[in-house]
Amino acid sequence: MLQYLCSPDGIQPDLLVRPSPRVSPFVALLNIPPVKQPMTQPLFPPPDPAAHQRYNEFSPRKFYEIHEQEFRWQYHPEPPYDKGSWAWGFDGVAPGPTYHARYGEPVLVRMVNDLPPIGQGNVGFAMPKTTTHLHNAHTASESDGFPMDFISPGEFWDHHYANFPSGNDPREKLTTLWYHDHMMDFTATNVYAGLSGFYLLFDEQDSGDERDPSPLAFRLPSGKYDVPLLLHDVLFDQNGQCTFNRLNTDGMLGDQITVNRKIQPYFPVERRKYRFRILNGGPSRFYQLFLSAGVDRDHLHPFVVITGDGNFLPRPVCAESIYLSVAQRVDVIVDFSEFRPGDQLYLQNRLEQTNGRGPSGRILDPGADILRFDVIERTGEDKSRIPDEFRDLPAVNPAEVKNRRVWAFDYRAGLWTVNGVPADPEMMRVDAEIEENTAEIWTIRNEGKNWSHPIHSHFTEFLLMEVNGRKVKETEVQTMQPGELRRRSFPALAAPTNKDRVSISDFVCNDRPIRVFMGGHRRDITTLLPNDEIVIFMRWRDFHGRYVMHCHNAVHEDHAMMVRWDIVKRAPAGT
Amino acid sequence: MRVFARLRGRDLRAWEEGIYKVKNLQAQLFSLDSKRPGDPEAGITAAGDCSRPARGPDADYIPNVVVHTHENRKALFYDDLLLGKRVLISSVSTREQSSLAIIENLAKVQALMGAELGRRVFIYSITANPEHDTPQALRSFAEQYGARDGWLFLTGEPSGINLLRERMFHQSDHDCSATLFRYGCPSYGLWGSIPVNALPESIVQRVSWLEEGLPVARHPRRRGPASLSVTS
Repeated sequence: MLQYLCSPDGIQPDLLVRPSPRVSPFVALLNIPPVKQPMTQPLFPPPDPAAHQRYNEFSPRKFYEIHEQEFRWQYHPEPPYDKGSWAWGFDGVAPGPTYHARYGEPVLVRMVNDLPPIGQGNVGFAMPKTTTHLHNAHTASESDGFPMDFISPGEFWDHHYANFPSGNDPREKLTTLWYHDHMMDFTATNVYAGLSGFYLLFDEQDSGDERDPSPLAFRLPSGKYDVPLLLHDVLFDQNGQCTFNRLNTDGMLGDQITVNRKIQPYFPVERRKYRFRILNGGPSRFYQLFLSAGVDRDHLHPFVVITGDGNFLPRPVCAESIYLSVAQRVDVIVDFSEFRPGDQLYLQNRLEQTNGRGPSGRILDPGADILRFDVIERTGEDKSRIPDEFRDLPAVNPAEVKNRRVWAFDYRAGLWTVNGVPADPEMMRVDAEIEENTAEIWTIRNEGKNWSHPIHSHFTEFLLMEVNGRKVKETEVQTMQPGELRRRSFPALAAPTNKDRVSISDFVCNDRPIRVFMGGHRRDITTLLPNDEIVIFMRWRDFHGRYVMHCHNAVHEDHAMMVRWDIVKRAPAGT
Repeated sequence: MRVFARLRGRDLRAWEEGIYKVKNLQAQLFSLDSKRPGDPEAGITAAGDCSRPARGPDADYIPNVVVHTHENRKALFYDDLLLGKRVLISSVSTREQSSLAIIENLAKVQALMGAELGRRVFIYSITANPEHDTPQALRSFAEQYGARDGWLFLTGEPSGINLLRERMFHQSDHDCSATLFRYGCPSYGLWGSIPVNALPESIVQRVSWLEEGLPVARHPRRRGPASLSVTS
């Protein structure tokens, strides 16, 4: 249960007025979503190649069919949750199954809406019209989950995921992605109801095999030691059913932080290294995560951060805590070998947030336990490692820049706006036309003094250029001092131990971790804290069509904080 | 934690009092359908009637205040006007110039709505100025804009109406009543929002999203994507 240092103003948050029923912590075992398996028989009816850009060039090698469904999901084994809470999910589970995809292996996913129509189901606050976005894949427009490309119960949509990096540049590769609903006006409710899951991309380096003999392989912890952790904060009624106040446009906060849709679970871990892929699934809460031990949680254990929003950092970084705005992800390595069997560690959130507008910045002590790790003896040799170098990032190239734009995020007369206007309800208004094979520099500005916005632009990652007037280098990471809502320092990643070496060395966490990891040079969520102004560089190539940028506080998104931008063909010379 | 406990205790007492009041109110009021213009007042003003509806997914959030329609009928907002209906809710004032554009847009919306308006679909315009917007004033306003059956202008005792507007349109110190319509199926707790200056067609589309669907067919049908005119 979360606690508050102060009582918020105005209407009391629902989680104060009607808190969720309390249950014993660390009774539920961590849920690990199953790996999605491809079809063994052809899809019927077959996909329509003419409906997809570059389909024949990236002909699917695997085909999947997945069903959005309503079912009872047990968030916790104790009453009132023991009988199950009505939830939405995929193939009967929440989060949905995890896709294991590989670069160079295009796939087609048939998304079938098997949700009950309005009036026939039990999750009343969500809209059973859906459109699934693979965040932040390099995906053609028609497969991207555009908010108005929705399907109703009894309908399906084919998504072609070509699984190649932008521009076929290996530096553009991603690793941890997630899929979630993106329905116009109802993203927050539908994702909250359970429509989210992981999509992992592997390649010859991040091969998903810690015993991979290839000299290219990172050999990160793999298999059952590679664990996705999807965080959603949920508010339950006295019967253990999920509730959602749709009339609060500030944002939705829950008081039970769930991990893979289990309340405060425990997870036995062997005395070895693990890779955790941590995702803030929203809808509105920000986190600052710590790994602590002790009755008072006063022994902190650092994380080795290797990715931000699915982008490998050039080199790992040791961090005392991790800041995650909505939809942000990190992959971290935690080495439990230094602990003894019977030791317990706690994944905690210590960031105070009393309303949906954003965090207060204050740090709660001792914070809220999210997940307990129970250390047990190792069952085999740990062949995994943490290389001290990953891959280079693509570079900012000013010569490619065709345009500069400013996007100001604000609140005017009750509407969440971008550049002073709400989203077009039909998403027909094109707010920006971007010429294919060009780059642009965008200034993302928060006009608000009292709220935060995690801004996400689809399709392509950004390279961070400036934060509040301070230029950020490729090898720097963002951090901030506890209790502040301002980024002021940008420590550099540690240099490789041997620059001229032939093989990659192992990374060792030093005794001076950074206080807060807020992201590296390349991400897909721009965390706007109050009054922030952030400058980013992006490239657009390979596909045409319509996409969106929006606040990923999904309640703000649903209340019109979204723009549409289109990738258009290059104008003919002379026109 | 002391603050937290005090708030909870105060809140619980308020609900208990509300439940008592609503039982008394329901014994004295007629439902909307049974009331007729000119019916005698029920003898109770809505002062302080932050009553809790007896049922419904938002019964602990949306107050069941007594409202007066522009036809001078009385109704319990939650029980009589929300449950079992698809609704579009706005906040207006006959004295505010900015409200006129909202009203004009709603007039276009009702023109696009078919026979469902007044049967399963209702438009409610809650006054932002209950001190001055009497049922009579709202009636002339409704006539001016040609409000059909199913488009109701609502007023009432100021404290009740202000509480209702607060719950429907306010967050902390923010008031979105001038910029957002709420649309929803209150029986299921399903609510969406759309800007008041959206095209009438878009607003009608949103309300149409709320229609209760038929059971799902055994074999799903392809919705998309559509064939592209040029493929590579």
